[in-house]
Amino acid sequence: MSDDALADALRRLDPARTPVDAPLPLDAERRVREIVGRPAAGARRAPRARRRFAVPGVVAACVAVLLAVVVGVVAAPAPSASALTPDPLAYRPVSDSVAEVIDEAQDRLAEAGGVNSSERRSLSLGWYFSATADDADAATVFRREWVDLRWNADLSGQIVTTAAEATNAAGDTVPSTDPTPGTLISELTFRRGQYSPISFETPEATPDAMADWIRLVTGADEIEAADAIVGARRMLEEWTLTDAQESALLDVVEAAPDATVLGETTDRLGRPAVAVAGVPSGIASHELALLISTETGRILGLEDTLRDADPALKLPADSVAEYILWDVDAWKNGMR
Amino acid sequence: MTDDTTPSNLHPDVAYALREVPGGFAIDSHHAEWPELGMVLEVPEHDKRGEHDRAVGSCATGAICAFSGSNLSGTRLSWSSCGTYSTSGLSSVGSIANARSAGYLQARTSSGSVVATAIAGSWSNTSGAVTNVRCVS
Repeated sequence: MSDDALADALRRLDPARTPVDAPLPLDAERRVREIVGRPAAGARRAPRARRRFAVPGVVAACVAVLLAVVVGVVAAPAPSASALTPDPLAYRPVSDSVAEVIDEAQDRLAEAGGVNSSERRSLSLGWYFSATADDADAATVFRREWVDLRWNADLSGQIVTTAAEATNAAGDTVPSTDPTPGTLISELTFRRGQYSPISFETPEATPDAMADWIRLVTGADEIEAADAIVGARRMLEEWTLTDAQESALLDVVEAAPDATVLGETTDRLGRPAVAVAGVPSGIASHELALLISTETGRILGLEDTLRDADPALKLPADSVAEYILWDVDAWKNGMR
Repeated sequence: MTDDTTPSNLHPDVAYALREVPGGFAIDSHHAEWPELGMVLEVPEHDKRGEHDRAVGSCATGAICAFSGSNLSGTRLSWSSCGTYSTSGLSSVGSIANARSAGYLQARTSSGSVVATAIAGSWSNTSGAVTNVRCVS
């Protein structure tokens, strides 16, 4: 028996690698937020950029105490969307067109000193939730996670998911019963030939090659803004791209006829960004915003916001359904 | 009284490990020990039915799941029973998982085209405009 075979056998017999979710009912989460008097969406706190483990101890203690109380609370007032999910990012309007915004980003990408070689790695920090869609009584579970994929040309690799620290997103709170930051959530290991990426190689750093790839992964004939954004997500979920490749991806976004500029903002880690958005043609209840650094021109993240209430997700309109951030190595390594 | 260490009573995973790793012996149907290696194996309790269903990533045992991200990442929709379900709660579907013990799960477009399939106990990344998943038991 080879080492790999033995490791695989042991892995298959190890029940401890996938922990059970620890859900907090939405009603309880909602009521706790109301009791602790979280500010309304328009009165957001100043960003706490570059600070990790940002949940104040007093608030955490309040939540812990109040959790014991909320079970008996009835007839809570209807919650606002922002009481359930992170506050939407606040955008400062800009007069630039999509083309101008992306041209500026591409100018920054063209400057020396950026990323010059692609890497089979995707490190992301995201806020997500989980819903059991066919059980109205099932709790929706909020998760904040690091996802670190490393893979090799021989299709071996590993995906490590760990519980992540708080970001500076107002309302970016997960249940107190969630694993503490740094806790291993899951670990998937692939032996040679086992990992199946969408793209074995990165497309050439040309707009046409990127557009072809986006058509492949999204199934779109005519690429709209949301297709380009989803395509960028899929690419960044497998690869760390060079600046030239990201520039080519942005060309595809720029060419989308329905792309709009939401404005400038700071992302969940306090990084200055400009957002370009689109609405998926088949799923018009979502709006996807691509966050582009106004410092480096690189793609920083994606925000998914509900335009309408979604009963499957048990979330009201204007909720942030998820966000995902890239170029976060420095945060993962504790350097920021 | 039956002896649950006889080969026919061993859990398949225990039997496999004993066959492949020399020096071990069965403690009972779900436990084995290799004294010289200092190694003990314990098959999870939920597998005592003899079934091989287990969680797939964060997709719980017995469920089917769709994820907004590739590689079982991102927002997760799950269903506890087999059927055909809309994934409109997700802005896009990047991967699917099938944590049931039998059957398969398809990711499909609005026209019914299958773009990815996950057999029992497995997962798959998707491509294309997935609008629904179909579980076949």
